[in-house]
Amino acid sequence: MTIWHSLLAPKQMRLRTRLACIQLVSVIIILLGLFITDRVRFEADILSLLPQDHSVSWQQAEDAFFRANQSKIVLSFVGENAEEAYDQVADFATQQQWKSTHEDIPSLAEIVSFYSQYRGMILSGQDRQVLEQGDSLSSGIFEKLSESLNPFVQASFDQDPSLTISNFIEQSFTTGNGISLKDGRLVKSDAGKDVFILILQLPQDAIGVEASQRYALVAIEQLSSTQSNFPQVKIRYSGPLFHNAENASQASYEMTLFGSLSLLAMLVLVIFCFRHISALLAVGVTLLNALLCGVLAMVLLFDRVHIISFVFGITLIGIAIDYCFHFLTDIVERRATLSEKALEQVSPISFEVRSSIWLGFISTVVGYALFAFTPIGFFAQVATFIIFGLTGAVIAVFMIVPSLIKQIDSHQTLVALGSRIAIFFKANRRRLRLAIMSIAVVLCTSLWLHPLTFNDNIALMTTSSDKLLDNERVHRELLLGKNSYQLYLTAENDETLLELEQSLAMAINQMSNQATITATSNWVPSEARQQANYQLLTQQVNQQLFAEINTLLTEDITFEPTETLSLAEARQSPIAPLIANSYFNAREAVFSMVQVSNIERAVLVTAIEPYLPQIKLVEKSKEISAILTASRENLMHWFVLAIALFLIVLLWQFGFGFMVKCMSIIGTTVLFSLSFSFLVQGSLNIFNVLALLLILALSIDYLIFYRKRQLAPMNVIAITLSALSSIFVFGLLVFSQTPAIFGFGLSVMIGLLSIYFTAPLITSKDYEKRL
Amino acid sequence: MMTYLLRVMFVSVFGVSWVANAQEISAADAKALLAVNQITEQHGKFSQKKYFKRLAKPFVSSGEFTIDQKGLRWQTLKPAKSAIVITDSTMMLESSTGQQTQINQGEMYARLLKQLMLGQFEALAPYFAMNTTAQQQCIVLEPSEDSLRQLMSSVTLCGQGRIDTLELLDIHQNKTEITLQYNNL
Repeated sequence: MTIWHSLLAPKQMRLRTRLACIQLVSVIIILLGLFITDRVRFEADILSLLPQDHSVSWQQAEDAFFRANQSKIVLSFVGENAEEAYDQVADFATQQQWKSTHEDIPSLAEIVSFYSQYRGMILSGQDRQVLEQGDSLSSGIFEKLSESLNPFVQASFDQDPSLTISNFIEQSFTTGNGISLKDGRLVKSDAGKDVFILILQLPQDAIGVEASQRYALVAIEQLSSTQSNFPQVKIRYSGPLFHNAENASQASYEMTLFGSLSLLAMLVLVIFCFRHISALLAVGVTLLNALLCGVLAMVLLFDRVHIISFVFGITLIGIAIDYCFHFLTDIVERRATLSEKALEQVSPISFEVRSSIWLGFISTVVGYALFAFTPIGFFAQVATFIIFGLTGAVIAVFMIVPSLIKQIDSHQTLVALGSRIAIFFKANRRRLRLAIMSIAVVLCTSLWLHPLTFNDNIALMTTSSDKLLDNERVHRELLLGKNSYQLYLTAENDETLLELEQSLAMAINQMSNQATITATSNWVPSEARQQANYQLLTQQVNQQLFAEINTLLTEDITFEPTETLSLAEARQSPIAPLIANSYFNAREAVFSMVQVSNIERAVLVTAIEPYLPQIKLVEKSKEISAILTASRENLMHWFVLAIALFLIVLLWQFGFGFMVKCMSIIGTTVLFSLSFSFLVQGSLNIFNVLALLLILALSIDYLIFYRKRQLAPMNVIAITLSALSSIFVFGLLVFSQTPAIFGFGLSVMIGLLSIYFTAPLITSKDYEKRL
Repeated sequence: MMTYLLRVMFVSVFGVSWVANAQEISAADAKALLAVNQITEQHGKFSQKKYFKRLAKPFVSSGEFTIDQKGLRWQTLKPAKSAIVITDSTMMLESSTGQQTQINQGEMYARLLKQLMLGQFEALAPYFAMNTTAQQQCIVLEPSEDSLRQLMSSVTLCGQGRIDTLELLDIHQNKTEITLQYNNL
């Protein structure tokens, strides 16, 4: 007798329970230890799921640029008394110690004073063009002096009569998309009206799930108060904070509501069916061990665990609880048929149930193991979570649960209910088959006329209100202009980065002279360019091209040799706030963020093409949608392979005929789930396909159990309980406001109903005669 | 010694009287003092002299201006051709080559010029404190807004019935004198 057989012997139950409890406690201790020592790394960014280009650390740059702006909120005020409304909110922000970002912007005098040190190195694009053509700057100087009120000229002429600094600064400010400072307020003229813009920097911790709700509430309360004081003013607000708050609030509400309802329903279900608290304990221990084993395996085997893996892996609940219900119903059935003494002599679980659980477990594990071979990284995490989680569930069911349920008695009402359901299935077998086939034919025809379409848009995952999305759009246009895009640039060092920006700017302007470009190099030209500028200006002096203007001056224009301005110096200077959030040094590379506005996407893509891969067009929503599409396609391929593998197992175990029946039942279930979801939603997405994971896993279990135990009343009860528990946990999601979660819940509900009514068709007519 | 004392007395008297004469007035009073009419259309010529410390002599420019329902066109003809065109919603700078550029940053100041030229004291009131001067038919405006204070110290407007001269003094004590000559007197 092997160790395994001796371990399984009834008298070794206590030993098994102890071993399993040691396992459970060990897992808890190890996990606690890993969390306390901060060895557990979670990843929430969905973009990290994309195949990474390890030669360029865009992710670091994106994180840095996002962090710089994630706690900012944008408020706008337009209408009568808009300035007063602005001031009221600004005062409130000051009390809250929320900093206004334009407070850091240096004055014109400070900027002129700074650049005066680099006189001769700095030239505007227009001045450089004039010099490169060999023309004189004098006529431009006369034009500028003729302007009655030019703040740049007034501020700089005495220090720089060549007006090269004045023109450079004026050009850099001109790319600010029309936003100017008026009486200490940012303002932009929009459709003839002044729109006052207040950009506030909140504390860095404001972006957390709970903190964002708190801060958003405070901000919105103040804005509502201001709105009521100034009803003529249109006030808008936007920023990641408000999106997080809205999404978190909705998610929190739904989690609380659905979680509470699910838990309550499960409690009622388990207590009603088994009439003892130990049944709840059995279900709880099974789920706990399953989840803990899954989490531990993920944490140990992967450097960083993606939150999405948990989301996908949570389908484990539906499968794990299935094993427990089969065990519990088997106990009820045996206690109804066997004496107390006989029960002590036999294994706590009948051979049929045990072998069915094992077969279901192996089939599911083999199917999920295929995930490891997909190119989408987090699928391997999902597979790990589910495989080890199911192992934990099996351990709990076989080794812990038997010791917990000694108080559970036979339940004649339950047995009778099971018999009634079994008789229903038997009596309506033909009608069920006819109904299912008819619906299937109709659906197939419908699909042939209107094939399934998929929409993997990231908008599915958000519950941000239309108002907030509209505010976001308006503010984006206000701040960045129409058709605005963000680019990330990277290079080995600052000088190369600035050169790249300048080349890009030239390429873009050649293709679209309406485009406005906001870049670090607008304020800090590359050192090579500065040297070239100096050469050009020195040539002007040597060729006496300043002669005309010199006749008006107290002393001639000259350019003394001076150091070039480096990016490092600029970042420590008074102009640092002007370039702060558009540069990031990652040690192995440097990055900058460039905004381009008033340009068609196709033109921009053509302009940046020669510079790839040093330049990346940032389109985060498209990238995320691309991930979702790639993930969905992978998932669908895997799904087909998993079904094939499962059918091979069935062929090996039960023969060809049974395999064909299972294939048709699974095919029908998938058809119903996807088709009805498509009819309701209009298009499908990855979350509908994800629902099929759960449906397939449950289908495997239901079909194996019906094959092994046929329409035995307690088998029917176990499967009914399994279906009901899955509906309580996942089907309630059909009431979610988030389109993705709604789609998942809908497909689960339809798939569950489908497999619940079609799986019994697999049973043998011979068995049914005994009912 | 006596001559010196007389000079001091002379300056003191006139200086004190100047101080005694400078009093803050409202926009309505300013408008009444210069008897500025509500002008909707005007055109004429201007002459501008800029005094900077770096300039050995004033920089002189001249040109033509037009004010109508559409806005203001300030066309410099000498020494270099350029134009500023201001409407209610835009401000364009036209170079000697005819190239037009929309100006954003200096827009506020260009609108200010139009308001000063037209003597629109009500519109200027939020940004300036208005004072009388010893010179009759002149008003001195001192900026009360931070961004304007960074640009100028004061603006002196003189005229009767319309604004004839503007004198802008910046924070570095550089001066701009503008003389307007109207065509339709």
